Amino acid sequence: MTSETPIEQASKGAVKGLLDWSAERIEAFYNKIKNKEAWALQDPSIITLIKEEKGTPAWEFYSTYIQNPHLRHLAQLGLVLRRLEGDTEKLKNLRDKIVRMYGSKDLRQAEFVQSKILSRYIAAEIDTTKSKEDLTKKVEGMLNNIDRDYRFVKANDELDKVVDEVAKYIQGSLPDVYVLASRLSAIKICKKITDKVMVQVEDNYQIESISEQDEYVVFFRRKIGENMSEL
Amino acid sequence: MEIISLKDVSKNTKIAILEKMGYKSDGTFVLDKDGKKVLDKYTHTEVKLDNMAILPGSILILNEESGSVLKYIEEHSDDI
Repeated sequence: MTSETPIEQASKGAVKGLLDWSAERIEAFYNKIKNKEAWALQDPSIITLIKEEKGTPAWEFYSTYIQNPHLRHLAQLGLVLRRLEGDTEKLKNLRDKIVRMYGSKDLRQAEFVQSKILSRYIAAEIDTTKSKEDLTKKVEGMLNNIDRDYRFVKANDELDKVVDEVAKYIQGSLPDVYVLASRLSAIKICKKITDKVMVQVEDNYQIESISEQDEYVVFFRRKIGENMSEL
Repeated sequence: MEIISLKDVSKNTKIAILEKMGYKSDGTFVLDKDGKKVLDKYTHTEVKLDNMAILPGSILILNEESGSVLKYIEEHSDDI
């Protein structure tokens, strides 16, 4: 047993392989924390990315149209998730933390930003919206209703079951916009779902799709006009 | 605001830092001055030496693994 205090032990390098700080350094650290000049974390990389993200044009764009503080925070985390796409371990770590702290719906809201679907939604809505406040209302509404008005199609989804669920929902609830998205091997079934749903709702909905090599996103947009059919 | 990594800081240094701030440790958990385990403000989970985050100003210690740092960032967005 040693009678030395932890500060004395730390100063003398009692544990090898890790950094031991001097008493002076510990004092300086304490003062920085006390004076709100520093944080200390096991893994500062997420904080660093969040700070960096605040200065980007993407963040400026989202913060213009998202006013709800929690949704803004999730949008910011969505942008950080996008930055981490090349680092599987850190991506999983942040996703896990979002689910643990907030829940799976909040992760889906952040992923909606990560996958650029929200920016495409805003781009599609911007020309038909009268004011910034209206667009904010639409964007926040889309995020709040993400489990209702958005579906991510998976490769092993049952075609007829999904068609039935989506068509019934659109016909029954008449959302202004319904979004289907898919990636890679699920693109084929997503296109089939789109075609079959459209047959059922085409009198009152039009579609806008974005097709890229590894993803397919389709917006079912309710027609605005005098000749809408009764669904 | 400076961001300091605790990843490569020795256990003894972490304990010394805690003592400077009025806390203690049994070598695994962060304890208050009465020897009770400190609980994360947001998740109410126990805070360990190897997952503690020390936040600015308030000498607040969180369980970094729980994701509660995200909540702190949300509440102090303007200061970050």
